[in-house]
Amino acid sequence: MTEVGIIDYGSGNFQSVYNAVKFLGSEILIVRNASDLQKVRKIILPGVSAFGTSMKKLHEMGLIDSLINQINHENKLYLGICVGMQILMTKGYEFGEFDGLNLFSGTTVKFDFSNKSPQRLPHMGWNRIINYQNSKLFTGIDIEEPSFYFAHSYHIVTEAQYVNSQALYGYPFIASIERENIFGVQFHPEKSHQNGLMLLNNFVNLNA
Amino acid sequence: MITKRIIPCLDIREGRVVKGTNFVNLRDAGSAVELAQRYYEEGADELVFLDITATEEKRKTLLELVKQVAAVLRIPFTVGGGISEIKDIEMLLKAGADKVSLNSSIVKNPELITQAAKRFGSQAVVAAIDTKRIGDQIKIFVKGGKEETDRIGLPWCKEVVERGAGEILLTSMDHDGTKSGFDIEFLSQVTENVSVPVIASGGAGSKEHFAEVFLQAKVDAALAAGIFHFQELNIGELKNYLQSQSISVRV
Repeated sequence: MTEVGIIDYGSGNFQSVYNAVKFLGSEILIVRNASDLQKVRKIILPGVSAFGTSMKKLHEMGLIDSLINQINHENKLYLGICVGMQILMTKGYEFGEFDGLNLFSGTTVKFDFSNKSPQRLPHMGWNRIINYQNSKLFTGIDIEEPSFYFAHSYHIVTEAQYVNSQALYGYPFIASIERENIFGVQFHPEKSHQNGLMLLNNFVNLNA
Repeated sequence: MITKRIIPCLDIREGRVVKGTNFVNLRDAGSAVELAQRYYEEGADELVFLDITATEEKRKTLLELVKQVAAVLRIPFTVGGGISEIKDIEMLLKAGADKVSLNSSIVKNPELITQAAKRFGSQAVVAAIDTKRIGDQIKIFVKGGKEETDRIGLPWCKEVVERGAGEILLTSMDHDGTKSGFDIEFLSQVTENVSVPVIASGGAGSKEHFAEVFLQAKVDAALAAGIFHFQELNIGELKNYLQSQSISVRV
């Protein structure tokens, strides 16, 4: 068993995630198929392309069923970054309507500023995390409202009980979620300096 | 609240950082990786690398540099200079760049913006636009400012956004290297008329200039080179100053 598996499905930020986890000293297996997935304790799914493209790619690699199985039945720790979190939802509405992994009942939608103060899109840059819950992911990040780097135009909507932080952009949106062994972050910890490294370090050191 | 970004820009020639005035008179400013590391530690929010050699044999040097930088920096960085094909973009992103900046190639072939945005997402595509006042018009220049085009400032900014660019990096050639402040007037026009984030570039000479461009032109980020390279202004000090002016920054 390798400690951390990072799924390489052509996502633009794969290298950055790999570099950051490697810097933290973890053993890494680059996951490219279902049998790789069985050999790792923890799974990280990076992501910076569209929802539909990502699902299609995972499908082509034959990873959909095994991913759901490893997370739901083997209880492997999972961290989804950006689109890697968004595809946990039931559906996504980026360039059409697409089915997600449906591990959370929820949707991925575009920022909608109607009746609110309009903001520029993509939401790009460093934003502060608010309303964050006591999560294992944030252990040791003891700054009030720590900043993380975001680059996206879509965000998730899901049940409040699983939301563990938000950020403000025209309105409060979900910045991270957590349910048992499943974690998701909308921001890019691999690009978020010390706070990001700390968060990744927290994840790779979790005990299943 | 999203914070305003401070972005040092490194003009690269054969792996070294160079900086000129009004796009000419280059002088050496040190090793790219060392400088990148220094800015990272000082609190830069992002970095931009512009390869001004951009010939075929130098391409490999640039990819090597991108790999080295990506291995040590945990902040986003953009790479530009001589990128004309999807294949170039793919190699740079694979090497660890987060975004690419496209300039001359998109004036010649605007369709490249759309192709790149579809393939890699708008967040990875920065349209770099170099402007100069000619009479009462803002004209677009390409090839490192050497060649005038028929493109006019604001319509071109709107077009790159419609085609899928996720950000605009707007450089005023008239202000570049002069340390006389940013082109507030044109930057304000652009931020009022486009929906994507705008990065101001050209003319930073003091910390007051940064406050001015954030407060008056309402840009999302400000980029500078020389003032940081030669240690006239430290990024940490700049951010403390901006905070004292009630401008939200990441500290």
